[in-house]
Amino acid sequence: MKLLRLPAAFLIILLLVTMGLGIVDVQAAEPKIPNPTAEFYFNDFAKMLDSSTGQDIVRLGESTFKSTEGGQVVFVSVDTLNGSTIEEYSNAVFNKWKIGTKDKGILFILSKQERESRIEVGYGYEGVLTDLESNKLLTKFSELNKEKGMDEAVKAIYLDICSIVNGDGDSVQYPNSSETRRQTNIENSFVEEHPILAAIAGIIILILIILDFILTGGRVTFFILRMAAASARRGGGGRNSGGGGRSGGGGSSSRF
Amino acid sequence: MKNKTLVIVIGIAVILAVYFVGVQRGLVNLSEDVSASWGDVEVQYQRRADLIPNLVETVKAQAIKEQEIFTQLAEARAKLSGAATLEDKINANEGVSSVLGRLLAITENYPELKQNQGFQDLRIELEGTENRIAVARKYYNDNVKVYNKRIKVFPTNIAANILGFNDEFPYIKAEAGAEKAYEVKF
Repeated sequence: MKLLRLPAAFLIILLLVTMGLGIVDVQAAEPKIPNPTAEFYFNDFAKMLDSSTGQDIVRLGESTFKSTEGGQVVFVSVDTLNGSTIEEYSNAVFNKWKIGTKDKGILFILSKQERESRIEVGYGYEGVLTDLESNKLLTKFSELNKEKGMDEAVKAIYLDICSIVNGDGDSVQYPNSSETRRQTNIENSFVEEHPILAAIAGIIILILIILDFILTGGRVTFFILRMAAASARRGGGGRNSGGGGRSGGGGSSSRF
Repeated sequence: MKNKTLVIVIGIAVILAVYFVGVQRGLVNLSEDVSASWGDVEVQYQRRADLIPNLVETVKAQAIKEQEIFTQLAEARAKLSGAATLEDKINANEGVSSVLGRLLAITENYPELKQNQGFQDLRIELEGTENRIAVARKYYNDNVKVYNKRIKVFPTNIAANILGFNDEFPYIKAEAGAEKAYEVKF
């Protein structure tokens, strides 16, 4: 009996303390949100766009992440909102995916069936991209969509948002302004523009690597690889995943 | 024999003390969560209240027939400044919500007002604020739910009562239909 008393008392304490601290977790009903794609910046769930548009957006998203030190601009298209409003849905996506480091995140979302569009702005960017500007961008999106098609419209708006978070908001053209509309093509990469030069560079690098393996047993190659891996670890945190951002519902919605 | 009783009594006292400390810490944390999320709600309520004078000015300039709406809005705002308790504040702000919703519904009948750029911008700002309120309200209500449940559930309710955590936090119930009027259409 005596031997049992101590463990019994311990058990009771444990039971009471856990009840006191509470392990009951109350979860509110949320819209069902898909997981982000591996690219993170481009999530065309409704298959509305070309894959080349996706590549352009991912490239721009990654460079924006670096230039803004953690800012993330994410594009999402969904087939349906399943009865939620676009505001509820986009807020849930934003907070589930944790877009943006230090809340510096922006979500550009389209729903195919409802024909709704929204730009949701994280706490960290509320002063950078105001509701009014978001709304103007959506109006511009709707116009561009009619004029040039969905791919061009999405790219243009995505580029505009990136310009704004990069502190270059003055270059963004809104509809109804007298100035001429700026070219909004996303720059092609070096490889796409100069395929022959890129191929030659690739062959030279390959020869150098082979020489390195013959002469030093690959010491230089491994050194470079290690350096690259280390810098990728340093700079790549959150690159293709959420940075922990939250949104309080800033931004604007519109139909397109 | 005497020793044994003493050990048991001390044992129970220790268990109770540990339990009470646990409950107290848990409830303080939860009520801080509620207070913090209430702060967010209040910031957005204030943001909306600051937009109202501009809105009234713009709408009044366009001479609408339904002048009584301005009296209602003034009354709703007066209640806002008179509200002291949490519950009063919530009710007063939701009152403002419904009058604002009605005002915006009325403006639908005035095409020249809808063309007005200043009014258009105000509407977008109001819509954004209304959405922020909705988000802040959701977080607040979620936190309130956790807290209120905790202080009502056995056996925490006994300890909570003794420790003075008696009062439930009020929920914010959104006025049905008040938000619909904010949808900006072009």
